[in-house]
Amino acid sequence: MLRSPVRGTACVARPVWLAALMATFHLATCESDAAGPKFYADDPLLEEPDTQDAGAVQPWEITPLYNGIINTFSRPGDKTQNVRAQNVNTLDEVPDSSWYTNRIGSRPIATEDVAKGPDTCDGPGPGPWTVISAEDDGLTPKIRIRDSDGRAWHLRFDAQGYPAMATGTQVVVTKLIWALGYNVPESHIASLRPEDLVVGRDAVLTVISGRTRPMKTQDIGFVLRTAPRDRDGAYRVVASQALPGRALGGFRFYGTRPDDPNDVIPHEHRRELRGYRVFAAWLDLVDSPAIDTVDVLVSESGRSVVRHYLVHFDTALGSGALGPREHWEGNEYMFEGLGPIKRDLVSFGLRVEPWRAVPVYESRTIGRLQLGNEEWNPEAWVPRVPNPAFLRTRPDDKFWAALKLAAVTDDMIRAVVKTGQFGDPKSEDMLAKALIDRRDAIGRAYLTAINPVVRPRLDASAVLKFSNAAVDTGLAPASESYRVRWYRFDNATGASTLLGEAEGADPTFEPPVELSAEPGVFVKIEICAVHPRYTWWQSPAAAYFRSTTGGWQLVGFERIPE
Amino acid sequence: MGCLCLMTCDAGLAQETRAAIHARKQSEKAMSLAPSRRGKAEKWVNLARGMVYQLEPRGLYPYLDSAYPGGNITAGLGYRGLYGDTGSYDIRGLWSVENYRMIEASLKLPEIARGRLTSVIHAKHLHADKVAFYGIGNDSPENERTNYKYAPEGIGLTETLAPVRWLSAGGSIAFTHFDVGGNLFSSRDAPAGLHTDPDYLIGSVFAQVDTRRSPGYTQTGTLFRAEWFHYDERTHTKLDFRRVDVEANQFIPVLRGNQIIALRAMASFTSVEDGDRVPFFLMPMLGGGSYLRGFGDFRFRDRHRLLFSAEYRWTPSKFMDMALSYDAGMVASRSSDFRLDGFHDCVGVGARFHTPSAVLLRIDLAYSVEGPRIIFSSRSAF
Repeated sequence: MLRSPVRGTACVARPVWLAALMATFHLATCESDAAGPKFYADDPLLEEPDTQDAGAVQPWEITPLYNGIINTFSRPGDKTQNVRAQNVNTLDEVPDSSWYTNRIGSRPIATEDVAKGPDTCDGPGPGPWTVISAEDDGLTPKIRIRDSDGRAWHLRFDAQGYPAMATGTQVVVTKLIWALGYNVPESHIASLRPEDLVVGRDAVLTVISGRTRPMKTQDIGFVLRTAPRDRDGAYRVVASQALPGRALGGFRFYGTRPDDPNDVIPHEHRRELRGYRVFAAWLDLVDSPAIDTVDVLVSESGRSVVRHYLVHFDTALGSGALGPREHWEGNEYMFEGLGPIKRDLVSFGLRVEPWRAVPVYESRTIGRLQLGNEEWNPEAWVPRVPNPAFLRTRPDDKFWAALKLAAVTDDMIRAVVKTGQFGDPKSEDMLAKALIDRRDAIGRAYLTAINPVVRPRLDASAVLKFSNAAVDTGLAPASESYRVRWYRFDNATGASTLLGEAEGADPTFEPPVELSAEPGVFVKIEICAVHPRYTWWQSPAAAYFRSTTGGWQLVGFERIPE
Repeated sequence: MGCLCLMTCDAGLAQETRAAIHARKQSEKAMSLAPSRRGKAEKWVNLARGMVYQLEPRGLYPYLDSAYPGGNITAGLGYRGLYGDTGSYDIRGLWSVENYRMIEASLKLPEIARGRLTSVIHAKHLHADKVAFYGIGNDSPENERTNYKYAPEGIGLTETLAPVRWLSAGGSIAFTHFDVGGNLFSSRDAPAGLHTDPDYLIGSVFAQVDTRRSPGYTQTGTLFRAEWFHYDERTHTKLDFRRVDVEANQFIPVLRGNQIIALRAMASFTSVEDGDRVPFFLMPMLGGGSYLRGFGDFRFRDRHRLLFSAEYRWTPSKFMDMALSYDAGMVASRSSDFRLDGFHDCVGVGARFHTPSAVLLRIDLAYSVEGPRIIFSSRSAF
């Protein structure tokens, strides 16, 4: 039996007198606690501004182990349950900010644009690359270079035995995450020949022990010793352009940065960080608690502000960076608590988690992919360690993310997968199919979980039109009917006065005759869908319009009214 | 209505715009900025990080291991430093409640040939004066235990060539002086090597195939290792011998590591020229926490040894395994003496607490005809 996680007032047909009584009651309650306008003149805010100079922000380091322990054994962040995302505007959307830029799903974007992603060039320029620094951790080298055009790049390599896996995954995921709206560094597959490297005068080498010393030319071979080499003697690398500005360390998925004056919304209550759970599940980004984030201090409009980036996506899809993704990753936290231990201590291993039996596809180029994604349950997905923002994700956050994801077409996915240059057509097909199937599974799970009405609009004649995201994406059969209820809305007091209601199979409704289009007038329209399977769609969403000289302007939308 | 900072109904403030409300919050925070500081807990976690992950620690570190079997509860300290880019030195000592003392030092030279060739110089001194001796042979009685002093000290060099990660070969040369004594064996003939304090030049060569994820802990992979030793006694002429150790381990994950079948087979054989004998303290042995767990340390010893172990492990947590174990082993003076009905065996149940790459604590309860034994160890049995 299907269940919705959302409870709300059913948008069932009611006598007008009852609706009027309820509206009066609503009026009374609103009057009691609202003395100011519900909508301001600049609503809906399309940009979250950074108004203060953040020049005093100092770098910090988030230790992965400590971060993992804190997130595993405590619940950092706001203890209040079921808090609505605090950075959404009155349209229930995320404004552009130093965290997020609306791209796919918000504006037309071509397949080629998605495949291009954040790229502004074709990668490091030709000619000698000057080594700025290098790091040898004994596993895979990391080299920072400056190309002949003066741009700085981070070079990362594949692991031995897994050509293209980590580097290709990094490129593919970077482009998809960019399309979904996040700040990411541009990344390119490139070819490195040792003879093209010139050790810079001030270059430093960090060796496996953590010690840093001046780097010498003969160190190049030493650093590259752990990297797989192509037959032609070159090394395949992923080159990620160095981020502009001063690096400040990562950001946490809870709280705020104490020294950033513009960071006023707890990260666990930022919708784009909550919704990142859906995208992380889609892409199996299991390393997503904090360690793959970077803040940088940049100058914008004459003031210093902190921009927030997501980086390092080589542990995603089928890749575990140094080898295929572990079977348990995405299915279980690294530490599941004492419950499973107590339960399994004397089970002799006879209790088997379902994921242990799910078939997988494995290859050296893309790693290990779970098969049967048509039946995949995104709600069961978890990162390696709990993520405070993910844990606070509500159905409206997931709906927001799923709607963005629904705008990613099959062609876009195939085009982006090709940019990974895995050199393995069969595996690329498997990867694209997995992403398509998982996207659809996310849509089925989250676009149907709450009232899926989207894009409400009033034309010049105040005729209401809207869409149904679940139906329009083909993830749910059409609704039997829609019901709408029109209210005159007093923006100063929050009071609503019922004007009329209607029901019909077509998502187009004539306005009630009493509706005034005088500029400054607000109208509230409750919209619900009647569907035999998704009964919770009858919980109404509320759209608010303001009459202007140019017509009706949508100023508010509440998918889950408070 | 929803309540983001950007749209909170800040009714009483009568703000004119949403942006102004947001700007006011940022302005208020700008008046009370605080520096980002690392808390004490985070500092402690970082200090412990190297230990937890069994990364190679630097500086002073607690060293928890066994000084020598039978030493009982042991604690110690180590100090590790860097030598070049990839080399290191390590000095560590252990002291047990049985007054067993061990100090060892090693110098790992920087890698050569892109990391394929490694060289380690090592030195060790051990003093254990209550080492169990039950006599020689597969039928040595349990109630005739006596103790002897075992105090070797030596220095050596090991070279390892690893053309690929899973394949390595190498050799070692070491000079070791053994101080062995005690008031022993009233009812037996004095075994070879007692009170001889021999000096040995020990050479060995080995080859190894190792596809385990980590030597310290694994759920999958194979280990096959064969090592040949030549013990050249430098002061007495009748204690030269050769020894071959062969070990094969196989780890088979079932249902992606829900269960693990771990199998081990190992054999040790010694050989001597006419007139030479193998000193009793260098004979292959059985018993103790890793070799025939249901029997005491050094319970059986003789010229040759066979040992088979199997464990059925299951994984209640990614940091904890449970295991049912079975060991069967036998020693013999001639290889032709091995027979199925001569094997001693034991069963056990245990728990292992581990990181992805190393066992931190192993607790086994093993049971044999000689009764139960509890084993605490900081290493996997195999």
